[in-house]
Amino acid sequence: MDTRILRVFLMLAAGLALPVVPALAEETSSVDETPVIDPNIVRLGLREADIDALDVEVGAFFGFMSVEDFGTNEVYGARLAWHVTEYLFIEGQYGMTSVGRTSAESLDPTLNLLTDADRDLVYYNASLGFNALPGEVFIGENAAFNTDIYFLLGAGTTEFANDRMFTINAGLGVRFIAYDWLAIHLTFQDLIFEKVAIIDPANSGDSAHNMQYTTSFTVFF
Amino acid sequence: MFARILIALVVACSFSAVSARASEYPSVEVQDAFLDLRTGPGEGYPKVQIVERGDFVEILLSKTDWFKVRTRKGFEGWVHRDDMERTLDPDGDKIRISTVGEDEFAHRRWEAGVKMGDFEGNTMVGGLLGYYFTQNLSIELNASEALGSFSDSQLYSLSITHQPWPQWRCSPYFIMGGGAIKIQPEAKFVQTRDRTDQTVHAGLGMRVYITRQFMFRGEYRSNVILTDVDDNLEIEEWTLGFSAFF
Repeated sequence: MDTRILRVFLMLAAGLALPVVPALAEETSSVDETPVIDPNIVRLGLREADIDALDVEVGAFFGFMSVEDFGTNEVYGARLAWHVTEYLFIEGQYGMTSVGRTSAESLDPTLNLLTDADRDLVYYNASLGFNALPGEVFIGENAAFNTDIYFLLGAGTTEFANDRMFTINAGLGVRFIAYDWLAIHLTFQDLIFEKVAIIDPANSGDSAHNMQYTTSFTVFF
Repeated sequence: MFARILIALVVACSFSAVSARASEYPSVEVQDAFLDLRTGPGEGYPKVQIVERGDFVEILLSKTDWFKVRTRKGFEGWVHRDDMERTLDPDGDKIRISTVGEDEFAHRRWEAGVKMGDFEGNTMVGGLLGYYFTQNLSIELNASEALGSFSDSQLYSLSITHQPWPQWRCSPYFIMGGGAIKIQPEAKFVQTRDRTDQTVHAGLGMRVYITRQFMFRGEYRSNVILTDVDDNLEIEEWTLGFSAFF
């Protein structure tokens, strides 16, 4: 029953609409009989948006960071890079570690130079990256992977020992392109920030070189 | 019941397989005598294959200036943007790939960047986000921190910038605006509380177009911190940084 009502309704609607369409068509086509553009040609073209551009790289890293006077500990974090050209990229990094006890504290267990919360180290930085040496590695007879040896230079902030310190970061890395969308990095970085004043008050203005080596897995998209 | 689910699954899978095959990559016709394919997206990678005039290649993806293509025979390689522009699209028109260049630099809308420098003896790091109303005028949001031995400060500011010659590769600009500064004295040196003050600033800078969507910028600002005490504090700020524009 419902469908019949619907059908009648549709027929009525179509009946009402039909006389209007030719009237409109008559009005518009009265000037020029031949259309300028043939509507039957389907233009395929090439739309750039159809090409997947993989210029952004995002991933996570883990490794070890040696913080001067506080030993070497696990470090982990995230990185985000944007590749401007085949040589140049911009990268942001966020990393965190938790440092151990100094040798003085190990010798005297009652000595606590920092609270547990102050032993957490967090840094972030922005760097310019240069893909200096592109290359290929071969695994066996049938597999070849593209690689890049790159340099990083940047600046940022480190939060550690109840202080915020300006940090210069310089590094060297190797990027293995496993797939077009996946890369594995091995990165060595030197994070240079002020020495912790409590450890060495006489030289508190001096800078400490804190080496970090990490492995990253990144995805291009 | 299970059979029905199984059939539904099979149908769904076959549909997705069909749609995957249907979503073909755009293909272009080689117009030059030949098209060089390299093993990687860089000019150092060796050329390992050529595609002759009249042959078609599919464009799989791009990385910076390089396009990964697949030949009819299934061979995959990388082609530079300049070579890609000497191919024809399915309509027989030369393909046009938009590159971002100096012209786009002059007509940019958004800018995002980072900077570092000197804030009256303290080291400053920060970030910025800008929006251009016109080629000459933009509004800019800055967030930075100045790290020193005696105090750390956080600065937030909103500025108007004006560049008289937007079409220049090295484009100078004027900046003025206001904001707030939060100063945190280091507890180990002085026992005072954090304080927040209003600031006003004026200065000038230079944006230098480098390549693609990338520019360097250097800036000088004279900040005046409006304190409660009689004398206002004047602080000079010098920064260098880089930005990307969109």
